[in-house]
Amino acid sequence: MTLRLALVLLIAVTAAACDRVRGDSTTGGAPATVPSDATLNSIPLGAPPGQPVSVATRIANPFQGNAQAAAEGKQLFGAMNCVYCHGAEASGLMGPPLNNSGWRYGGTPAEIYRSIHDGRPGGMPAWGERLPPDQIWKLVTYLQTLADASGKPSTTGAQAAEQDGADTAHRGLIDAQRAQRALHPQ
Amino acid sequence: MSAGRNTAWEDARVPRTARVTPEFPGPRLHEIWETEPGLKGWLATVDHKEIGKRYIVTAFVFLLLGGVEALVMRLQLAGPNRHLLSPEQYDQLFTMHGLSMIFLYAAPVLSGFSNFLWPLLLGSRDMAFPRLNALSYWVYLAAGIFLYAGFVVGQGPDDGWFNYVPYAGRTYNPGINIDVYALGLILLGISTTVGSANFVVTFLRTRAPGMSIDRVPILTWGTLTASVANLLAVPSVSLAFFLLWLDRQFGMHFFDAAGGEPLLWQHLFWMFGHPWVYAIVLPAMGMVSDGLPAFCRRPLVGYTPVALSTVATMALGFGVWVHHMFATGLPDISLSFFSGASLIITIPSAVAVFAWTATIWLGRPVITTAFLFFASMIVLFVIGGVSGVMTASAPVDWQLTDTYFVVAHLHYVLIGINVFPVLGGAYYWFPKFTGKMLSERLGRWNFWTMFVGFNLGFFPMHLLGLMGMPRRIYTYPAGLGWDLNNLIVSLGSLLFAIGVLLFLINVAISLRRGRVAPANPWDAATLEWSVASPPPPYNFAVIPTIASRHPLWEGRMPDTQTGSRLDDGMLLARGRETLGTSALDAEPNLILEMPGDTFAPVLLGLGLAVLFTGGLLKAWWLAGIGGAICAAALILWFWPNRRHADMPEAADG
Amino acid sequence: MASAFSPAWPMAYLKTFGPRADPVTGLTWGLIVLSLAVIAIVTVLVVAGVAVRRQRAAAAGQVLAIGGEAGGQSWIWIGVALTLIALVASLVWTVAVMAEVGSPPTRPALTLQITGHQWWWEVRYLSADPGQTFVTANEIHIPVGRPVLIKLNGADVIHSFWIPTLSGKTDTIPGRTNLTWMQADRPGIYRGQCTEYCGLQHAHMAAFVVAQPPAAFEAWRQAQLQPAATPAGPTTVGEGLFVEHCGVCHTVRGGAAAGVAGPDLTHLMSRATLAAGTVPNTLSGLEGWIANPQALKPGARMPATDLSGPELGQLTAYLETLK
Repeated sequence: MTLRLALVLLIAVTAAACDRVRGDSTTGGAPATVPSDATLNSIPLGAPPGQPVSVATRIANPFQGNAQAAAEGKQLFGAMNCVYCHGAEASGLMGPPLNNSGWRYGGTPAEIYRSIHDGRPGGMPAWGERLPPDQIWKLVTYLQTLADASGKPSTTGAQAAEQDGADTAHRGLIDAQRAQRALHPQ
Repeated sequence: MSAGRNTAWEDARVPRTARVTPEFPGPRLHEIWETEPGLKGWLATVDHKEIGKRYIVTAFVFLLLGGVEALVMRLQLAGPNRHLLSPEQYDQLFTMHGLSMIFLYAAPVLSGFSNFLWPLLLGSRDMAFPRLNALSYWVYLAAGIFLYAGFVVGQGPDDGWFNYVPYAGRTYNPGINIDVYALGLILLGISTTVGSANFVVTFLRTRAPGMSIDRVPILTWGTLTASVANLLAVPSVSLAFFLLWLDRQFGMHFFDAAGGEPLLWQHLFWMFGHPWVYAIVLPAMGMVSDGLPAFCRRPLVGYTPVALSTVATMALGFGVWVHHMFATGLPDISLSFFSGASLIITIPSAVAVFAWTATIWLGRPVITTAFLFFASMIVLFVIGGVSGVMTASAPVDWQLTDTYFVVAHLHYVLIGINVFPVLGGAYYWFPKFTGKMLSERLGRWNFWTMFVGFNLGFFPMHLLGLMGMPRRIYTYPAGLGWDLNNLIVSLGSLLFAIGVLLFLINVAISLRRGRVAPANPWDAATLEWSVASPPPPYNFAVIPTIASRHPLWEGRMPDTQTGSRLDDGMLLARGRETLGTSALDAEPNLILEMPGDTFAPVLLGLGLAVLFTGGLLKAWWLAGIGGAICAAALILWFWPNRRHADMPEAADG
Repeated sequence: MASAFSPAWPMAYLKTFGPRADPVTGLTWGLIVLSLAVIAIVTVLVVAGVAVRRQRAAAAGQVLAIGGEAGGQSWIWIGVALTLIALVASLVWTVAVMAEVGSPPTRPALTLQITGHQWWWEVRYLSADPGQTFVTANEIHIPVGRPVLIKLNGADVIHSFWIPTLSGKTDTIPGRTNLTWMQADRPGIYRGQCTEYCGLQHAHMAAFVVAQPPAAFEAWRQAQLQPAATPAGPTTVGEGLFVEHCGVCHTVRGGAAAGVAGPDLTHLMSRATLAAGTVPNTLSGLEGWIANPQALKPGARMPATDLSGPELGQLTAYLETLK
């Protein structure tokens, strides 16, 4: 069973990506550290625009500004069928455009990561089972370059962390509680 | 706000009385009450007759828009698997159709009739709060344009008029569509609320002396009851939409499944929605109760039971909202209670139906177009009523709800009890509105086309419902037995639309070259027919004194009290004045100084519209401008105006 | 099941086929007859009243004379009394029917969990033994003559579950579990449809109940419990395509595809329709649906793919093995 899974994953990733995406996470540049699952899971799902999401804003994309990671992300965007719903260049089809308008579920790198990893209501499936974290981060990197090119307001984690400043301790507590509620509604 | 500024000076004043002659006091009152001609006067007027006519015309415009939307939907549904419309288009159309008809036509058109007629029926020179009256209209107009603005740019509300969450939440409906509806309806709620408050105070304080509450026309009972209901029900829906807006735009969790409660929306909405349904039929039932007797040549049978049943309907109407939620999985014990309440509410309706029928049987009916509309309404009301009884039975409703049976039911209720009386009322009161008679000959064509078209278009919907066709589907497959009935429905609705068109043609012809109407063309009994058609700006040259329910039939009926005086009464001609009377017995007790024409209401309406547009776009600078306009309008509104104290009561004696 | 019984008007509920619906149907007929009688009486009263009274007024030469106010009240009291009797009878009958259909007459044969999705039905056959639990979609097989308990949930927005010939509606509400039950007394296929407006494809959200004799039902259940057969020969290519293009949303038990956003396709070919009754599950239907779902069900959550013609053939060849 696990063998089959690994085999099929290999087919899916390598064949579809025309051999240009390699499974090795370090080839896409040198990420400082990939944020842990626990950190990422503390980002509340579905925070609306304009809400302070300081947990998310403090998590930086490990591939921030890495052109090669962005290029690989673009490959993945085609190979993993993202284009079926989000269109070529993420310009939108039955799924929302990801290159020119507001983010429905938040535009910080970590929020985009969670949208891909866990899926969102209305048809976005969870890719966490299919893609390793570094590949999701590369997709995030690609989407960030699209947003930056269009002047779309996207926040890089590092910038936001600097802006966040003094009141983080208090807000961090609130966010942690909210994240807890969001993840365990019962 | 404007009425009731009775000073010690006014308390001490004893109004002069006078007998009306052609020279006096008409010309003088005309000067005092006349609205300035031109755009300035048009924007500033607070004359209830002008506002009433505007309400009716605007409501008819929305009726036509809603009707065109319905016809487009019927083209799509005329046969199986038709794809004239995309699902998005269909969803916006049925939503706009519902909210146009319910919010922008059915209630405002009745406000229009009542606005025009109330002071004339009650023997007053205007509504208690003329400026609030103007504000109510301008805000209604602004809300209507606001709600349609989204639709015009392809971002119309698309979750039905009932707007259930979570589909109306941001997760499943991320566009601006639902925000347009939410804010538009809160804006409309302001209009409804100030209008309702005005009706309540007008009823209680401005009736002619002697018009005790057992002598007022039933129409005023209907509108009064509806207004009280609105004051209690509208806060529920305004709150619901405000909370929804907070959910959508500020990340609150009132209605989502994660921490909120989707069913809360349904309770808040129907606690408003069901009383509202009665609020948009009770005044129309009142129109039948007042209009039918004029053509039956006798007073309404059972005035007191009918008046009481009007109030009883509304009281019970607040206890039946759960019958919209029988399938939501509430416990059986609660369903039994609401089933019982929903069945019992039939009793007051039965009172009205048998009172009207008895009025025909004890009268000598004269057939006019207005009479045909009023009398046919009895039958349509009963059809809509018995289908309502069926849906009131919870187990039966598990099958009927959300099928075309309910569509049939609600159209029999809303068209049968609102549109038919309104058109009857239009034929009946058109001479009073305009001074011209509508053509009776074209009127017969109008009536029969509408009556046949309506029943052809809507009766088969019952069968479609019983054959299982769900509501709000943009298409359906062949082979389920729905095809033929849907075709008949589409053809019938087209015929019905032609009938409405004939009415408009009749109005257009009549305005151009209709027969000039006398003061009382139908030889009717109530006070509005005692003044010229159309009435002068001041309504009554002197304040009449009332001694019976039928002031114009006194002396010609076997058993009524007499003693009403219409040509001889208080003068009240020191500026715009009318008489304030006590709440129950209408004993005169103060002089109400009425406001002059002013731009404050239209300015406040504009300010509110800008404020809400700013909120919709989250453009807070725009909202700030709107708030500033509102503040300026309120300052203008409350600016102390010149008093009439130094004016002589009359130029001569 | 092509020759199975199905009501002539599949969605009509004036004739029903099980003890959950039958008492309600009796009450519905009762109220219809009562309603028609009331309509007939009032219509006759109004029309006859106008005709008779006009004639008499004309005969007496009193066309425009005005009558007195007194009299006629007895019309109201008699009318209200008759109405009240009819209403009380309706209420008693209503409460009696509610009591009768409130719970199943015998112990339920099985418990289903049905979840409404935009725009299809997820059907989970529950069991205390996890090995006896399985998931399917849109077609609900039940044993004939035995009540079935149904737990209803909403995955996204509110839907309403309705099989008119077997049971009235119950809403599926996110965050809540509603209970209902049904029983079919005659083998056959009973159509149903979502009846709470739930968005763009509310119109294409049918469900089918397939009532089978107990032995046939048990055979079907055993088949559903099996994972998909391991593909062999040319269909392995199709399986690869499936995992690559479909697997993140769809599950095929026994394979590598484990997505949960769309229906479980482990036994796709045991179902008669695709996309909740939108398309017949034939080879051409399947190909057309996969090639461009948005043309058949605009707004559906399944995107069009960019598979080539041969690839589409390979994919459907694999799907046809999912019996």
